[in-house]
Amino acid sequence: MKQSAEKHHPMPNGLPLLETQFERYGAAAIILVLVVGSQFLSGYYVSLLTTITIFSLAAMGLNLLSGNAGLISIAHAAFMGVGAFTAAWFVIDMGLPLLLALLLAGFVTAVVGLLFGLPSLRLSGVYLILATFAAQVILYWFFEQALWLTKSPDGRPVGIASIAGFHFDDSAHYFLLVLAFTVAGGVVYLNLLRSGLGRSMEAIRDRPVVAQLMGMNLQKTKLVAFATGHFYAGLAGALYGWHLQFVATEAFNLMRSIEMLVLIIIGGLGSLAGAVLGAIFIVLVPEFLDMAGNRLLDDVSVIAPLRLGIFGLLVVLFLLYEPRGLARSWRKTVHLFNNQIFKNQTKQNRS
Amino acid sequence: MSRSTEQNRPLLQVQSLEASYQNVIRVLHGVDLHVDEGECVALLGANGAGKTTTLKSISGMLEGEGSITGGNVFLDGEDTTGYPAHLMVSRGLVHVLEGRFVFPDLSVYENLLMGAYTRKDRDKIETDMEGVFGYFPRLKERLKVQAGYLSGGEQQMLAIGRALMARPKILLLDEPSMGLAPVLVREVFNIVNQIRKEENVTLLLVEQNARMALKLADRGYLIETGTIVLHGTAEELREDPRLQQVYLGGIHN
Repeated sequence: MKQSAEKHHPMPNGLPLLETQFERYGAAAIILVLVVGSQFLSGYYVSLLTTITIFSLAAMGLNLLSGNAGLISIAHAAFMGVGAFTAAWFVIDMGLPLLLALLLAGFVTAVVGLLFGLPSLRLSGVYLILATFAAQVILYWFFEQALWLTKSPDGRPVGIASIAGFHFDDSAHYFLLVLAFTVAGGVVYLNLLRSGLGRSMEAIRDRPVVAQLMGMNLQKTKLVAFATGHFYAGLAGALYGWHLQFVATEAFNLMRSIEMLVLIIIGGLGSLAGAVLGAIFIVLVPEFLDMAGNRLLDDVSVIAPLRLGIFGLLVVLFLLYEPRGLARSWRKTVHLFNNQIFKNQTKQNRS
Repeated sequence: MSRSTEQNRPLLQVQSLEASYQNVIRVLHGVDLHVDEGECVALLGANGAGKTTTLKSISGMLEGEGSITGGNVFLDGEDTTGYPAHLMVSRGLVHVLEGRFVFPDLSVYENLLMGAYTRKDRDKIETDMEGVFGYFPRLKERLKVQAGYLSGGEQQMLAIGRALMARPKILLLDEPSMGLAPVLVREVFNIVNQIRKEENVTLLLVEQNARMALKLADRGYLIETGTIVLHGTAEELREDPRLQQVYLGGIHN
């Protein structure tokens, strides 16, 4: 601790995963509270938590791809679908164990992402968005047609997840599995960001010309971003399937893809906190709107169509007032607390 | 000629290089030049003469906007014609673009680290960074500042410092004086000169500020509409009436 305080700047090997003590303790505390707390919650809240956690994992992938590497995609949900269907296929049709199937689904999705990424290498901006739109449409069409994989155009049931004879009957237990994957995904994400690869992604997003001048391989970096981002999507999609116990084609439509993009914009582009906060937002806000609708109108059908409108409005408001997303608001708050709570400790460190 | 080609092998050799944009606009019509090891060579010329295009063709940065349509580029004896930029960097050729391209959202420190992207010897990066701070103390003062908030002069310093972090054998500098206050121009040139002497870096310098460039350079080339029209030692060029009239501001030297 003393050494790092003395140094003016951390060297490449020494960049910490989480910068402040507040973040380090905070992350540990949040995970602990989630692990313990989830076991006492009712099924409804566990389900919400699981959805948020899965979306966080998926959003990390999209944030890496679109937030950090600047390759904006409106096909993320479709790639989640690829993961969900392949994992189901591996487990049910091929009889592979769940954990292996989850990882394989991630890899398959990464490869599919790479294939769609290849023609997009020369595209950027609006044109890239259109290319990912094509990917979304093609993949969705594929889900509806490839019945050997998806069993019915609507999707297929997958039953209850089980690992080595342990059945996840209790949704709170399944949440722990999801949480484990998401925490691991978060650690990998943070690690990527502080690595040369993470820096080169942001370099290619901000200044493709200079990035090349620094000796970065533009195409390779983009492909790595495509592969990694879609690995997250595949893994999250697979976990989502067993969460609902049904892999629904509809859950991976264009609307969901756009929602994922909205998620990272509202949460904060290019950061882990952005992925998590965005996921919380995107899951809870419709839930609150439904609740409010129930209380006020006792008719959900009135409020349901309004959801989209309110979403759109929120996105515009965020772009206007907090273009860096909730992660930024969070950071401001953290700094406020950090300055007060850890004041004494930082003083000690300095001396 | 102060340094003859027989003595020193050319580190960079460009032979009848032709380049065009979008296959339509021919910009270079056979450019010949060479830069020997340890030399500083200035490439002078007016707007649109093809200075920047020459540099971009050499460093592989033409890709995307134009292409090399003829001729060859040799770096250290290897034919590198048409190599993409990242391969040139790993071979020790670093191009500092005109207009101070820094990563605006990254800190000065991160920008400098980026310069060392291709290097494997991580343990020496810190020493080299101290070396860069030796030339540009201001960068050390502003280490944690986002590069986008630096002044123009500081960004230029950062761009050069970052290029040094790659430990280049040869540095292509495109208009380091552009848009800088005269005081800063002198400072930047002084530092470039210092770097050249201490780091044993070979330099190919593109400048509109011919007077400054010829103070620094050993030799120079004058390029006009895509061909080299004049070539000689810095002294010869300074005395050349043609260059004097057009680029050095008339009779009074």
